[in-house]
Amino acid sequence: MANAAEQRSPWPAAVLVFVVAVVVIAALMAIAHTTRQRIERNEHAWLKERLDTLVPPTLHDNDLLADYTTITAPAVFGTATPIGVYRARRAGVPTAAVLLPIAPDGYGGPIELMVAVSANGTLLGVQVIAHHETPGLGDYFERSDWLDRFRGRSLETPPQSKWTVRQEGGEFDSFTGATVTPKAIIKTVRVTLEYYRNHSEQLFTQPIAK
Amino acid sequence: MLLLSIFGLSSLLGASDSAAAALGLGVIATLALVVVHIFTSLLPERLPRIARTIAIVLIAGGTVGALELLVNAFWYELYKALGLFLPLIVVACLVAARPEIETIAWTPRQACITALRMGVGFLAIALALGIAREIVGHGSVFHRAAQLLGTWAAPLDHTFFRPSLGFVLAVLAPGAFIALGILLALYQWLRSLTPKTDD
Repeated sequence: MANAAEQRSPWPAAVLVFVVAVVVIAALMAIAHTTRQRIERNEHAWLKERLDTLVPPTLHDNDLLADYTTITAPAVFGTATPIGVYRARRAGVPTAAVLLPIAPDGYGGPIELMVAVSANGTLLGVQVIAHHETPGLGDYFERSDWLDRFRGRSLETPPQSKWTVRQEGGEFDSFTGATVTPKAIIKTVRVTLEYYRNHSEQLFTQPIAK
Repeated sequence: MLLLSIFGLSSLLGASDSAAAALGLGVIATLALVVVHIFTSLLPERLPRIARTIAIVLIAGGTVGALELLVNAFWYELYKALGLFLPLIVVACLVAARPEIETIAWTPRQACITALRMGVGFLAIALALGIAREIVGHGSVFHRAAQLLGTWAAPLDHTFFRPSLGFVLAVLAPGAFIALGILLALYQWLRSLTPKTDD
């Protein structure tokens, strides 16, 4: 009797589900709250490590992570996503900028790059921070010094017509079995340099953004 | 055989291209199974089926969310390496374990032991796939294990030959299916060797 009545009444079950929901949400909120700072620190440390390998500490005395702004130039970069810029200064004078452009035409989707340019327009270095290129073919840059070869280059070395893979008369080696990826990276690096040449003043005077 | 539930396995293929990631994923999935089993075993027995299902979904979702946050906070490199696969595979793993999770009669202790057995089975398969694929594809095992799992894992990192000599197919998605096929064939062969028992 009691059993049957209990089964007909939906309230005990509803209350229990509600209690479970509240407990789960409370637990998740507590964990999210306690881990938030640590996650933020992880992300900062990860970024800082990459920025430090690109921009030598002798080149700046400011905190790169704090001197951050964004630019939006869909016509140049082919993406409407705002592009992050970390600015390096020594005694207040701009010395370098690290741009985070996205190569939209990677083989497996957009390739997120980190391009460091010194004040005079020379490349300090290029890194790939996120990509979906084919493992073993398009991700050759991960297991070689291919990206290092950008260091020291500028829009004059090589001239624009040579800013492509060797098969197309350019100066850069391609990957075995994958030309789309290197072409996408080379193009975005070149475009970034061009943007930097035309907008460097604006880049360094722009206010700090979140 | 519950360990070989294909449904749980097929989603594993995406993240089993390296031994270190597979090990991390296996441990996380085991943890998720244990937590979900224990909490669901604490639910009152006399609960309408629908209410029980909702409660289990809530517990499972909360557990996966909490684990994701914790891995992000404490194993950041592993979190970055697993990416979307972390929630995806853990959920698939829980779905595969659904009959066990929904069993009403477990005591927390029994539930914990069942979950551990399943988790270790999953871990073993993930690790076998990860090691095999990484050796064939990249010529190494537990590459970057120290970054992904912590400094204790550094001695596991071995390189047998240059990555450029690797057989790329193994680390691509089709290679995962081939490796899984070989693994299943091996399992069937081993089973055929042992005398038949009723299981």
